[in-house]
Amino acid sequence: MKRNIATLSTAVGTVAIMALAGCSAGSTPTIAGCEDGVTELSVLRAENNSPTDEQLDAYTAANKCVIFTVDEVPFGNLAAKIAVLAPSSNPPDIVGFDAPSTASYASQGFLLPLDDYLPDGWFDDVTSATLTENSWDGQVYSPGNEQDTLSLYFNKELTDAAGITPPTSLDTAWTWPEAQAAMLTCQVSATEAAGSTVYGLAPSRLGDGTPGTSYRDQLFLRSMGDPTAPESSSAYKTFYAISDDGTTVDGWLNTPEAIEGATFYQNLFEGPDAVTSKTGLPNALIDGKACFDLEVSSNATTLTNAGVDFGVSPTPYLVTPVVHTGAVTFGVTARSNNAEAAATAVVAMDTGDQYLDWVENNLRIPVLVSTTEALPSLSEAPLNIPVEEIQEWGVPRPPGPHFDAYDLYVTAALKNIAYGADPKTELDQAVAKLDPILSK
Amino acid sequence: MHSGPIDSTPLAVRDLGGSTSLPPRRRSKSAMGKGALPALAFLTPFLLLLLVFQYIPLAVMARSSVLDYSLFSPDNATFVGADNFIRIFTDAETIQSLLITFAFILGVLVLVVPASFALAVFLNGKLPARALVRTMIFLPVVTSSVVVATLWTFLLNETGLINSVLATVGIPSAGFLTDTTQALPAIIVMTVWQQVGLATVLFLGGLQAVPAELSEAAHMDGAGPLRRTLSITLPLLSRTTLFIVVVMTVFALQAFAPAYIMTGGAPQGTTNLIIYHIYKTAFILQQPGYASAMALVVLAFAIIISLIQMRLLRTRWNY
Repeated sequence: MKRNIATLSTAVGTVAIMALAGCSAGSTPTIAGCEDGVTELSVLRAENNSPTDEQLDAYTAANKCVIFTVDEVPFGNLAAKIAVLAPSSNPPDIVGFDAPSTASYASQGFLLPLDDYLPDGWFDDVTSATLTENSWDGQVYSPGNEQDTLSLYFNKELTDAAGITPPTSLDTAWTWPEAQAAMLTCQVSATEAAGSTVYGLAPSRLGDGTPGTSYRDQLFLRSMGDPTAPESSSAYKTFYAISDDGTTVDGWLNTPEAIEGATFYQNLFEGPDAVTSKTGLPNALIDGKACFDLEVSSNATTLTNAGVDFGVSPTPYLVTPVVHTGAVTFGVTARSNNAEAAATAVVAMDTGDQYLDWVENNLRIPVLVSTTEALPSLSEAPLNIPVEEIQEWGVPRPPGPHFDAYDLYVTAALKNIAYGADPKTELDQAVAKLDPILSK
Repeated sequence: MHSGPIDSTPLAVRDLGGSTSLPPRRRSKSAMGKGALPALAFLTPFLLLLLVFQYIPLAVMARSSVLDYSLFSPDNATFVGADNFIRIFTDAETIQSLLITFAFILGVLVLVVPASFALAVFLNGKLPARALVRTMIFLPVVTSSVVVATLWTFLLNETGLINSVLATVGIPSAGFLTDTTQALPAIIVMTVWQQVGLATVLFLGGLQAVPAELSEAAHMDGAGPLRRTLSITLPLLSRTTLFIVVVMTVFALQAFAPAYIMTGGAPQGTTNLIIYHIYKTAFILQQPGYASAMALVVLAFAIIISLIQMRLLRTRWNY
């Protein structure tokens, strides 16, 4: 009997230890001078993305009673992690996310509106693309941390050897047929010189590292449109790629112009004038395996650090010059237990002197006009091209509460088109899958 | 196989003189009672874990499968009855995903079973470097699926190692991961490469348990190696084969990494395996109710397929 009791005690003890190990919570540290206690804010972010340790440390340095605990995941898993944490009883206080998802998260009550925390004059200072991306239903859900867009980076050693001089101002930007011809020339020249395949255009590193990501490749469709055309025209709808009320893409995503743009896009991957690969090739521009690369602005720092002699050219276009804006940003969860402190911290990190310092130290493109004007480096190469593109050509990706579904199906359609599928069939199928979701 | 009558009395209840010391039933009940409490005590923590992490989530999933809601607002769930289940069999994308998954399972089975049997026969022989080969074959099994998928992505890319080798002999680059006719076979081959080691080790265990005298007797009767394999070894391995087929079917049904890491379900949905499809539906399209219904249907398929396989491959031979 005694043995049985001992055995039972062992088992119950094991269960208790396991339960305690799983449920125990860490205690908040005490800091001298914080009589009202220390506020510990939990942060979920994508790896190597904002809010960075530098930003969080700078805020703690200025507000010693606020500390942060960080949980980070790869960017590709961020949306899924947010979806899992959203209904939990203890969501993170501050969350990093891709700006185009703002409407989706805000419309489902996940994010806290920050209008009341924004400083005076902020609405006059913020760029219009940022305000559009980070708002939903008339309220702002993130001040925005940085802006970004694609530009055409080129390996000067390879382009010089091929006798190509890419344009370096927006008013002399290449059209895509001009760019493709230059890429092809460089591809032939560099491949002959290297004795192995060198691509005219580097395979995409964005998204999952294969073609199709809407951030880059939907530009081929939207560029066939015209925002100045009559609103009922096919050209106008092609440019916006989703109805004004966000409830349908039929007649917006699969217009004849969009199909023509998709067909041109396909020719970059297939046929005699193909200039890029259907599968990934990391660091192609750095390794001299590609002449050109459509990349985000942080690529300038990467190439500089790698010692590559490079230049930056505006993103080519088909009919209308256009680039997608948007970058990773951060906001406050609506069910945060520390909403006030979290909102104050988020706004402080994205405005004022702390923001100016961070932008300057990290060569990022700011979301505030005043910050842009305060930094001369933004009007010089290599960042002047993306800054001007955002100001003159930038549009958000088609915003709406179902952006994630939109992105999924448009990316899938473009990937299939790149792999050789019929453009019209793919765009029609994307419309057929998206419309029931958008109309909900 | 036995040459004479056998005393079926358990050894534990026989004394040295051959007479039973206690009535078997009473002794057995007492022994069982004595062992049950400690067994229960040690099993309880793990049964609780099983309950918390397996059966309760399964019940939650069953409940979700009749609801329509978003992960962001579960409180706004609406009851939709069997709508999610009906949608599974009317949604072209899901039907395609299920068919692709069945083709994937079939491909894996058709290649894994004979390949692993052949490797097991090789390893069961008296050839040099068997231990090294056995390690090499088993290594992919203990390697992370993510690592394997990433490795094979680099191998199969347009500029990957395999295409580079093909190019050296003048064969044009193949779209292993981008061509609608090659992508599914490519991820089948990768999965076979990863799983064949486990099946080989299982077959090897079975082969080593087959009594050698049966084969020797057949050999003396004039049966050749092929005849001995087909008529003696394979029938006697039917239990092992059944186990391998069921395990490989479940592994293949659960495959996620190839679609997630290598192809994203492309091209044109030809590698959109059902678990990846469920993941996208739940976490990107924000339809966890529909995803739960699909997961339940997949679970039902797994059980049905396993039962059919057990019926078709039921053991007719014992040794």
